[in-house]
Amino acid sequence: MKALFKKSLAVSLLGASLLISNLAWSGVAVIVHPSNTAELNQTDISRLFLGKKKTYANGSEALPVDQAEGSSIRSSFVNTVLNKNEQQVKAYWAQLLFTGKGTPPKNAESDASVKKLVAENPAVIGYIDSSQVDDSVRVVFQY
Amino acid sequence: MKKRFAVSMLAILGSASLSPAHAADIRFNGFASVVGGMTVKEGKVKAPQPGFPEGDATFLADAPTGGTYDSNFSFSPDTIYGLQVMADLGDGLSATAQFTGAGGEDFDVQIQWAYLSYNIIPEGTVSAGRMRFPYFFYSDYLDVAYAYHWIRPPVEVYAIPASDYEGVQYQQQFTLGSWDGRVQVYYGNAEAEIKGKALNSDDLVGLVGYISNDWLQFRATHVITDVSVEGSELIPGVPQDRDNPVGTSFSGIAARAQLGDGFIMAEYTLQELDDPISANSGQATEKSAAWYATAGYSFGSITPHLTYAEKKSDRTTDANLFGGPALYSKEQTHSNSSVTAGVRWNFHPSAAFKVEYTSSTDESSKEYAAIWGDESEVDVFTVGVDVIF
Repeated sequence: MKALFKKSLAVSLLGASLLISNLAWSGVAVIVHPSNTAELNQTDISRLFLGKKKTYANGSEALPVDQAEGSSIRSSFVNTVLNKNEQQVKAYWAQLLFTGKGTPPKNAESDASVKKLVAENPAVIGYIDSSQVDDSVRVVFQY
Repeated sequence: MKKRFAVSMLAILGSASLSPAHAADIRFNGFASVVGGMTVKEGKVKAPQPGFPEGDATFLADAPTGGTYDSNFSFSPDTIYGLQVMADLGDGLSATAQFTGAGGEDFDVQIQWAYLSYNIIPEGTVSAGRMRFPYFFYSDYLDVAYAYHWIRPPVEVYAIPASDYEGVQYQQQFTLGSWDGRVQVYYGNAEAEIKGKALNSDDLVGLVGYISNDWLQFRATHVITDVSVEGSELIPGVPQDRDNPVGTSFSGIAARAQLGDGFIMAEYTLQELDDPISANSGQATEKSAAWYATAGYSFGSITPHLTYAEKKSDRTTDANLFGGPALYSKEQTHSNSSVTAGVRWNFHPSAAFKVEYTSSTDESSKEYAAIWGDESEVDVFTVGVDVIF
């Protein structure tokens, strides 16, 4: 009886922790327009979002769109895909901005507005919560 | 000439913003550094001839504006405000102007840059106008102290009076495996003022190579130019002008590594006269090497850092050059070094608080010190806030 109780407690604890980690970690999808056939790995995406590359492999223009400053999805994207922290990214863009070498991507307010921008323009690349992905966009990278 | 140029650039910017046919995308960005400080230990400076400064050594913090600390607490030398306007005219064409007011120049508003840029190809940009002189690793954003850890980069290295030039530049970006890089070539001329005299750098030809990956950055540069100081009395009785310039070359290399929350970096520069200056049947030569190494580690929003910097100038003059006693001889080396300890605290997403202490030591040869005193023997304490917006 005691053993059974212990087991069920352990199972429910495991379930709870899985649930919690699922809530906190629903995943992030990097998305482009469905007609955009670009194959992109993490380095390619990082280059586009840091302004080091301004086009897709086929030469067409790329327009990265960021999420709101201070949002949790943005800090997760910056940490995971760009391999920096937000302060470093801020200093990085200050360097480029004030030397005329580049301007940071524009910010969109939410997953929905990023998705809308991507769905409307084949040049745009953005990132949203994986659970928000639908047929209006194509996922090129996920973590 | 300078003014007219600036006005025409403003007209271009203005017309861009007013043009109804193309809604230009206009972007304003700004930066500010408010810094106060004072010297706390000063060596004695000797005047080799009447007219040269003497008394307590001072600390030249900002060479382009002449911002200098002395034993009175001052907010002027490092304080600067800047506003940048960038108009994206579409199809790869943009116009940029940057206005700054620096404490070293009594906050007179200067048009620091005003230039047009055009992307000929996505990775290739031609720019023309007044732009930043890309001498050093941190030259491009020297005024935007938010972008680096110090209040100011080491003055032993970052001591070029001209910070901008007028001319043309081509920049090509490229990628090589996991590396990203750019090559910059430029041509133009620069003007600066030294003690009220116009310093001209004509026929500037420069090349910059830069490459970086996730954690490493490398930069190399070489510049040649013809320097002259108009109506100079540096050599009494010998008027210098732009028809009799002195060929000068400048080279620099720098590397920076980001190791998790820590970083290390170093930069080395070498400046020399191509040929000796000749006047009064006498000759003068100068060769200056300077470098620094710095490291820091971020504990969350707090980054303590440490820097060692060194400069060594070998100068020679004949007695004949000045028509009097020689101010330098072969044995006279002007050399100084400094240690800087500081802390940067990112107390806000767009602002950093900084505090620094720099201790400079004059290590010049005895022969030099006998004439000039300990002009580089000075400690300085500074504290400030940098913001970007």
